[in-house]
Amino acid sequence: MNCTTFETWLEESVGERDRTLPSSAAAHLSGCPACRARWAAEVQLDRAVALWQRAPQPASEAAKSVVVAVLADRNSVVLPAPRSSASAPRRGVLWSAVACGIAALAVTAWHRPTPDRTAPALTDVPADTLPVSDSVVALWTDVGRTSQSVAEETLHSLEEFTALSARSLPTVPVTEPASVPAAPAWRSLSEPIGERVNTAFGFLGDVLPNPAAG
Amino acid sequence: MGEPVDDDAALVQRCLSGDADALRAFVSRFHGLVFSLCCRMLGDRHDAEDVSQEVFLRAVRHLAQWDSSRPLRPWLLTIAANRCRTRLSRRTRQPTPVEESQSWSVEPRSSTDLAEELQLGIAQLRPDYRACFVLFYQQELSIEEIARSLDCPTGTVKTWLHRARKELAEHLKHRGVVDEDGYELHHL
Repeated sequence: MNCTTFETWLEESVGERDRTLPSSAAAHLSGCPACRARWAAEVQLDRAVALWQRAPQPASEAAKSVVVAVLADRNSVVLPAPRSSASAPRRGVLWSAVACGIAALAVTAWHRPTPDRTAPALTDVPADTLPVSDSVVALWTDVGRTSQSVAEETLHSLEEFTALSARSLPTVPVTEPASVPAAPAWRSLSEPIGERVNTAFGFLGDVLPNPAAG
Repeated sequence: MGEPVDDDAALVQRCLSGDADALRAFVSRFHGLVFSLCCRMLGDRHDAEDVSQEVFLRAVRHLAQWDSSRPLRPWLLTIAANRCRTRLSRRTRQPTPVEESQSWSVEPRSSTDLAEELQLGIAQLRPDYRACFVLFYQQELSIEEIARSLDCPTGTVKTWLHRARKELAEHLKHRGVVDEDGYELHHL
């Protein structure tokens, strides 16, 4: 055995809990101070490990809190807690985000150029036949039924949605319902989603208080 | 309280059926095991308590995935070791409480000091080496069990364990815990 094979033996035998020096290794160590020191360090380490294994472990009083956490976690999975009133604003934000997302997707999808140049332009398609319009109408109807606060929040979000309104969309003036005093920013979406979206949005003007009327 | 359950598989079955007493028994039975592993690996009591809780939450959520033909203890220790490794990886470049407590004086050492010095050295090992070392020497898992736990070949575990030992031996020497006489052949 030489220094290299001694180190290899150390690595190979590391899984043995009570390893003993083979005679070939002992013969090498007798003439090699470096490997003797290496082996002595291993023996010292084994002694330290034995003491470390017997060292008292810090006790934890946290087992009870772990039980509480585990039971609470299990209950949260099996029996979801009833929705509290405090969660309503979060639901409103979620609804608003979903509504904005769908509206943005609808406009983006409509505005994206299609490779099929023989297809009629979208602006020529009646708004009634656009499937997304129905989705938007249904969505806004649901939003309107949910709560007025949701509707207010959604309208506010749309007004801040400058990236959408800044797109080069056709801006055809739309006849506004008499109950809406001023045209909000989202009105610039206009055609071709146009009337259907405005119809859907129009209820907001009906259900929200009119600031101009006090 | 329900009937005491000695068998791990039966205990797990009761836990899966939603028995709250069984869940309490499950935590009570294995908390010491998990907590001690976390303490050894993390070197910080508060971190160990946090991670222990994470381990039990994760274990209970995935109890159905435990293969009842295998022992539960290594499965649980696998989760614990992996959570500890994750925690350690988040600590990168941050001094640990153990490291902060270091002093560089070389003084005569008692047996307790030797164990504490070793724990200091363990805290400085890289997470893979540390996991191997603690699982092998504290939890007394075999090389094969550690390889399964850490999802790596047995040869890798041997290499990591060997390197861990080498680094720890160097640490003890550097800290003056092992005196020069320790390197003489008559100590073998």
